Amino acid sequence: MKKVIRARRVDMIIESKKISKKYVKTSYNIKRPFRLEREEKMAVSNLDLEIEKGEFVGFLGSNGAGKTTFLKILSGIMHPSSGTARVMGYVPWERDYNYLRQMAIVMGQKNQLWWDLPAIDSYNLLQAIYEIPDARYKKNLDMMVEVLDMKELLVKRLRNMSLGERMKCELAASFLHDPKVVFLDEPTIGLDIVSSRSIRTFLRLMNEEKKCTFILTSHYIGDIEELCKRVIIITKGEKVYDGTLASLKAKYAPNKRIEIFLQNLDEKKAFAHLSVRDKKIENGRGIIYADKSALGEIAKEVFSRFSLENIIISDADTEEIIRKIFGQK
Amino acid sequence: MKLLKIIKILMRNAIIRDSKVVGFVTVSILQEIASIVVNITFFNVIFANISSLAGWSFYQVLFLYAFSKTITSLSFAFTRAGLKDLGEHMIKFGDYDFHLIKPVDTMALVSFSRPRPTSLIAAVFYASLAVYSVIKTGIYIGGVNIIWFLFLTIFGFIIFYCLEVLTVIPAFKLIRVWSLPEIVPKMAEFMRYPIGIFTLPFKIFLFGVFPILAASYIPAQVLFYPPQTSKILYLVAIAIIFFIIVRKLWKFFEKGYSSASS
Repeated sequence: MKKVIRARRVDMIIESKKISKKYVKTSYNIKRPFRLEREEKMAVSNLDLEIEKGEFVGFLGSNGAGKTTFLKILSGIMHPSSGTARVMGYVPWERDYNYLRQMAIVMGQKNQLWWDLPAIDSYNLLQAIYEIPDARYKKNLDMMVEVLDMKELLVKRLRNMSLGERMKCELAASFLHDPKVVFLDEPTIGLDIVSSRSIRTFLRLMNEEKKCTFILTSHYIGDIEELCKRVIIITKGEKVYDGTLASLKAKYAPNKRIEIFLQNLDEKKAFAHLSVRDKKIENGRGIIYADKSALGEIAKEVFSRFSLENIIISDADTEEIIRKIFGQK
Repeated sequence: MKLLKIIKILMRNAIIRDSKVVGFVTVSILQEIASIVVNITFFNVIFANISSLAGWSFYQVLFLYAFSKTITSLSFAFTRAGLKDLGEHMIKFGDYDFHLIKPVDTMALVSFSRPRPTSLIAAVFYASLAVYSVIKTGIYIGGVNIIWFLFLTIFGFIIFYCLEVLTVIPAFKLIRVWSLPEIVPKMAEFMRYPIGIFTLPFKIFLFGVFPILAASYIPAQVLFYPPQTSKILYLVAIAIIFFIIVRKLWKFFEKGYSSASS
């Protein structure tokens, strides 16, 4: 029997130390007929991570940054080239059945349900695979049908569903066995606003009610802003930021953004005469980036010259900040 | 028990799936009947010119044909499509990921993941033809022979299954194995003939290296002739050895699985 090693601290549900994954691609070159050419690529490099029980962590990175690879290592799909990891005390890639019964991975671009069958038939199969007792299975399914509003979908064949409907069914499939840790790899990819919102609501509920721990990768900043207090940013397989979204904004964009809808030429002139230096006009809107310490003075001047309903003060755009971080690396 | 329950649900789901496609079952059955007719005609042509094939009569050879087809049909019904899918798509497109996160043995789950109920109907056809052929041989078959035959058939099927698995394992390294899984059904054509018709190198190859002939010939021989301990032991041993090797290879190569990017 495999020995389950407890995580060092009880509240740490996911821990990884120096996880690296190197992909090796071999190809044949006719000019060198007696040897295979090896091309190595580091997908993940020395990634350390500690996640507490019940956390909802956003995992950000540009395409090819290593997000999915890392999630696949933590879910036991792939073996790392080096490093150690424990999820709920288990080494993921040893694929202990007790571990697999307590985790789930949702991949927005892949389906695990039978394409030609109604979702309920695939769910029955999953019940047998995860050995879910009848009462628990029924309770979980009823809850998900209600929250995700998918009663009609249960008997609809997967291939006749829209992308949003399919994603709801895939999500429900991943939560039937009450996982404690869930890895979400772009669960809202390609979905419209309504479907995305319904999925976010469901995920938040699972996090709050069932205390599920989530790691979410998404290119939609809305997902991250709405669900994750903590974000980890990786570029080229290396962690470049780990902290709260608020600290991220404070660190990389300490300025506030003041936006003024300029109604006429006089207002444009008035905007040009503002004492603040860092300002510009874009599509009929005057934009000012103000340091938080100077915000009071600038706001006073702006409010004295323009009407209140035409002014918006906000934090810098998160997407802009992340783009800035990706660009730096 | 858990695996049996999963197989039962997989088969039921496949029946629901296939029953939605109008004419699929009818066409599949007609195809099998056509194949039986062609082969019986072929054997009739051969036996019009000879009285026996390596000492086996027309109905004995017909039995061998029906028995080997029962094994291949059972393989098609339960394991073939799943394994073929692993070799052609599952690894290439990363669908194997979903098998790896399930608390079930991956080799078993992949093997049984794409059942074909129509092949189960074909297996019943061929099994009936095998029973008919045995009766028509006029040879007295004792209860002991039948018990040994059924016992060895299980091991024959294990060998057949292991050979199929062996042909798809390279997919873990090569991503896709193209027509490599087709080797087993092609080689299965040899299973319908008595071993005596093959030359020594062929016998060694089909009995020892790629023991597809052992899977059908030894159980069939036990049915018609007094059981030979050496052959029985050989079949059981080779089935167990192959199964262990296949399991080890699967686990070894699975560790190198790198999944397709999203």
